[in-house]
Amino acid sequence: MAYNTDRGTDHFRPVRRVIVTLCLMCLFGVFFVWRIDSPRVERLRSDVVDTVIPHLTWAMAPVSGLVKMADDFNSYARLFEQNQELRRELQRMEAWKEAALQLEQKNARLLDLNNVKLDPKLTFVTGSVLADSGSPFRQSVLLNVGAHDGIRDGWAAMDGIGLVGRISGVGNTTARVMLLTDPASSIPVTIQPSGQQVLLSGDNTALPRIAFLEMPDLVRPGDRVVSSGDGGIFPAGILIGQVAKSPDNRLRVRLAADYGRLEFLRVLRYAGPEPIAETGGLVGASAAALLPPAPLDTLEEADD
Amino acid sequence: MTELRLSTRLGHALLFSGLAALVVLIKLLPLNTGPRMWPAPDLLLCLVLAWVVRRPDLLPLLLVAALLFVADMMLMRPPGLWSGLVVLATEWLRRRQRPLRAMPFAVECAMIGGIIATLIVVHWAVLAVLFVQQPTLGQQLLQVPLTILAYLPVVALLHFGLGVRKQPAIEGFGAGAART
Repeated sequence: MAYNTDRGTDHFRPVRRVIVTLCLMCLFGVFFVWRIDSPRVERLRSDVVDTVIPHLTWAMAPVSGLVKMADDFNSYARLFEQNQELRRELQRMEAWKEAALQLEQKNARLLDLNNVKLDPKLTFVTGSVLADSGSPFRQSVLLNVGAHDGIRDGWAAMDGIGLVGRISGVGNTTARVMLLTDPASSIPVTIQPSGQQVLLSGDNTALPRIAFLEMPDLVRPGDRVVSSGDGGIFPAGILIGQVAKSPDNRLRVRLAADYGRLEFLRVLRYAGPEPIAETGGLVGASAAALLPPAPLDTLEEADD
Repeated sequence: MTELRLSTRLGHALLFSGLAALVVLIKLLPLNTGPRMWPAPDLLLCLVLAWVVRRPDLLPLLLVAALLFVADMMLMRPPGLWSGLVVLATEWLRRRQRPLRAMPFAVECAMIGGIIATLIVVHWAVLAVLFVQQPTLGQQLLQVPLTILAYLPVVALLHFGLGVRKQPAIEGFGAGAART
């Protein structure tokens, strides 16, 4: 008698077929709408994420906390070595600290001499990481700050040291950061001593690729890579990492930010370079006002 | 006793939703945010397939579709395509539930592997035709063996932990008999 469970649905077979068809049509329909009008559906997606994830932090935070504690507990095994290592590092740091202090004073003096004003527009909002992309082929994280905090699409996100990615998708209280390692990420950067402008494009590995390099001879592993500010996406000069050579002899970038553990990210408020709307004051009609007063007769000629 | 009791159905639907939500949550935990060498197995797919092979009558179609769609949304996949394909696969398995009851586990694993590979190839092909940016087919197919490996513990959990088991195969001839 227990066998009959699968026959119980026989009466509903035609109805069921209609339901299956409708369901599939809905799902594939959403997919095609997404393909045609991606921004609208992506907004729907960020709304869904925005409503779901913040309510789940109470469940997720303890679990990730526990796992991190377990990781830390493992490291107790090598407590002694770590201690020694830290002591050595501390000694080295003391030397660096001294150097840094001296440099800071020197820098302050020089800035004072030059009357430099540091850019006050570059402030930041700090958010903590709620979730990652969950998919093996996408590299992104979700922050707990969003449109409510004034976050906008395209702003740069960095951890304490280097650039991590940029905002792509903003909900009301959450924002998604597309990491530099994501296959869809591609940003203009400068390699520093040689000053070459290249593109840094992610390919789902820990070290993103360098593309469109004009003169590979001028670039060595260890060169600094900073954002170039081209295209007005990022402010220029944010540290990204160092050039490294992969075993297949390609140039890649070892990122300065600690990608293994992203916990807090800074989102830089950046409105982009101001557009130049009119001709410069030195050229054209308005320049006449700046010229020393012309002799009277010349002016009269101009009036005629 | 031709119909299952409502409480059993509801209980199993809740159980399935809870497990699916747990799987998605674990995937979303920001434990290791860097890129990994190996793609993680698709546990949600394992769960759906293992359940539908065992008790298709306890897994409502609309529940699967809705959960998979939400998972698509949360996991940054193109929304709708993957969930639609998985729903198709579950329907295909539902049609074959009688031969499936008599199927040895090894054969079942091989069949599930075939289904997962087909799903991934079709998903890749549709995205390729529509020029959606996606990882290479090889990278995606790397998931197949890992997902089959994950299929074993999922089946063990369903079978021993939650009592979701295959019903005995129907012997003999007649309306309910196995058509192999």
